[in-house]
Amino acid sequence: MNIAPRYLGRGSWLARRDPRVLILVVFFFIFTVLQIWDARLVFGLLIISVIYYRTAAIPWAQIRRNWTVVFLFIGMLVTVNMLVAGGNVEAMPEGEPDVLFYFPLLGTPISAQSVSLAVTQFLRYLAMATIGFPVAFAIAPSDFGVAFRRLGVPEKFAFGIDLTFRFLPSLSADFQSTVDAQRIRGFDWSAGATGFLTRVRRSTPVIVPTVVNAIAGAEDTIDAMDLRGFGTGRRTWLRLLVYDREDWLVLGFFVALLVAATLGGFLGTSDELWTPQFLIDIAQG
Amino acid sequence: MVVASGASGEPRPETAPPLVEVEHLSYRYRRAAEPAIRDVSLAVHPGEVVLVAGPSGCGKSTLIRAINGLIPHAYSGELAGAVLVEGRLTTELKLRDIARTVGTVLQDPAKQIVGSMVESELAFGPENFGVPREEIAERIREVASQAGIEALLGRETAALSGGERQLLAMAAILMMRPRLFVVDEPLANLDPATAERLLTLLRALADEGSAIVIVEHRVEEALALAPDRVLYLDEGRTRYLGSVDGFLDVADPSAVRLPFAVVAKRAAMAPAEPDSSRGAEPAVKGPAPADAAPRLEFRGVTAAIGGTQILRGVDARLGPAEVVAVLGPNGSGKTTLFRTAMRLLDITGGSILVDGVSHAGRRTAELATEFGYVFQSPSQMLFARTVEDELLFGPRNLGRDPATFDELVADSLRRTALHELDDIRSRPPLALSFGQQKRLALAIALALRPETLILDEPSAGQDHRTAEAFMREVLAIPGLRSLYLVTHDVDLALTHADRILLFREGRVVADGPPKVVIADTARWTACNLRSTSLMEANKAWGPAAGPFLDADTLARRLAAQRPTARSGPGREAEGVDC
Repeated sequence: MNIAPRYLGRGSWLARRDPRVLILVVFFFIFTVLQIWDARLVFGLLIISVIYYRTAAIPWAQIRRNWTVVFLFIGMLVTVNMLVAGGNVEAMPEGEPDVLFYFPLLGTPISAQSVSLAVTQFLRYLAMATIGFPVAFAIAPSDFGVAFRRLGVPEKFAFGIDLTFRFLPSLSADFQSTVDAQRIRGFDWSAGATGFLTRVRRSTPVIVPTVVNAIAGAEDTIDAMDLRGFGTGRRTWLRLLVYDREDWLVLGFFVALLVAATLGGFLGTSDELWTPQFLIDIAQG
Repeated sequence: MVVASGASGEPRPETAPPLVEVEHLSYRYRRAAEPAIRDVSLAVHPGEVVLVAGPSGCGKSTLIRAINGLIPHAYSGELAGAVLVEGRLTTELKLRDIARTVGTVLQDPAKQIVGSMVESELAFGPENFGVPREEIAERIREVASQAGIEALLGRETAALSGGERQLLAMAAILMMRPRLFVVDEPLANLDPATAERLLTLLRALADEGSAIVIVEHRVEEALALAPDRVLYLDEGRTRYLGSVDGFLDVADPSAVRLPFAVVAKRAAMAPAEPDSSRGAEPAVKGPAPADAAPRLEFRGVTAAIGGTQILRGVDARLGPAEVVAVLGPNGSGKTTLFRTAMRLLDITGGSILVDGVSHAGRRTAELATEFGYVFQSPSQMLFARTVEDELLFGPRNLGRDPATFDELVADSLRRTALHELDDIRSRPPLALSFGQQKRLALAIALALRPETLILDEPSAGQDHRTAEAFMREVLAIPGLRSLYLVTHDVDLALTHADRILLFREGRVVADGPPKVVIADTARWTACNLRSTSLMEANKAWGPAAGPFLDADTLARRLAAQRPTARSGPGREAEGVDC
């Protein structure tokens, strides 16, 4: 198992941006998407997010599995929402839905509107994931701390983010060693584990040694940090972050999108669900 | 206690004021019953190199913590006596202020390195002291050149080798420009070339006026630093403080690893004794005949981890009744070899046979009944509430008959001598000492009744004395027929193994008895292995076949054979005069 952060976008146009840009864009974009329910506009945002994502030049072969997980997760979330809740959210237009059919066993009405809602939600989540991926793969691991610090996060917390990225590979290696040590003793944690609690209980032989070792190792690390004066005064950050012209352009573009979405919401042009006429026609026979 | 000169073993009272003075220091940790150190005194002056030696538990780590201020600032306990840094009591200084004078390189650089990139690690200390950005950048350039790590700049710290990490940890302390460097066991995992670079760097720092306190039980290697004085600790007390020559006269060769010449000199001067240092009669009887069917056979085995090829076509046959040691540099595939044998890692090519049958269809747990695999660190596997539960975890998972459990536990404890500890069955495994945990890990492996043991780095985390004792105990385990071990410890491998497999870049580059394998010095050096004085002595006077003799046995044998040596071959015995 490798849970080490992978700086796959190294050297790309997006990786050369100030890391704060990548973090801020995610926030601006999420707030933009959250205000839009019109699938046509959401599709436009998805295209923008894909173009943005492409500038990170993240190799597809190395990220295919991550995307598979994202697709499965979003797909499951949207499907369950549609089947269980019937897509019953505020954005649904008032009035009776145009029912296409009732889902067997559950009896949930599947309407033109709930299908539109599911598609819109899928596109929204997908757009948000697409804009978020470069944060994980196109920011240098050592830039996270300084970026969050310059965004106003307290110093110790910001450095804690750096430390997390630093020690993830070690923790991963220790975890794997423990799994191997227990496999040699006939341990198979997937066997017979049906529920969450059973699974947690069965994980004890792996979790206890991993946690104990991590705590013991953390004590040494804390000593090492104390001995180099950490947390005793105002610190310098070697990495100097300065927005350049392209950074401002990127930020300006996404701020403009956010402003437009907010205005659209006030004017009522983008915050209502759009249902394609052909779906309504099918429902109405 | 032996003190060579002056009340604190001071060699040159006329020099500059001491950077650190330790005065009659005693310290007991809050939850400990006994003090970790008692009445220790030491003064370190600018330009001086002090070697602190002693076996595990001698108080070295506590002394370091007292010098760098972690005691009393980060640890709570009872402190008596005083520690002064540049004339000021550490109790009255802040840790941050002490760190400006005392720079500490911890034993495990992986725990010390907090930056994910080499530059961020180097910058960490100066950043915390608020040093201006431009000056930090300038220091990085200077220190990278001084420490010879320019090639590492721009790399991620997670991708560095053990040796590179050690150099980086040292360089990160250099960045803070302390006047005293405290270095804790820096040679533990270094290949000879990196060790030499590090020792050269430390010597240069001392020559430029910095002071060095180096803690190391590998005395033979640390002597290359030409220390001015040695503080020899045992059980928390000062046994000796003074010159190197005086230390070599009083040090216990079983506690710290001394040059063979010193051991030979002692043996020559000691009254003749029967040769008994090999301890109990080993259960593993030695190499099987050449035509014996192999217990474990690798045929053209290839394996990769995370896309990186580790094994590149390994052919090896390990016998049913022999001790085989696998030596080689970090990343050469030593541990990976046995991980593939246990099916912890799938092979990408070739085949592995156990007693002549492919192991392809067998589960890891099944293989563990043939080969007891003992990991480097026992804490990687201990989780149960009691030793008994810990021992029975494997047998329960494998569906063994509960009626046999009581005898199984008793047998495993007896074979590892753990039964001598009171209430051992009900003790929590995590509360045992490190040495006891190592033996428990052995007992866990033995509870599955294997005939072969595989030990991964058996000497890791142990000093010379405990590592040797551990190996003797393992070899004396009743019913054990063969032992395969992976180690960095050249002397340990050569003195216990019938056969050496030498690895380099995923291939076996030599396979044979110790004497044959070490004969090719160029190959030995190319595998990043050091040439120890014991190895050279065995080469000259040791047995032609089988394991080499340990230092004590060889020295006694030489002394017995050549009575004239009693007049004292001395340190010249490093050569061929012995």
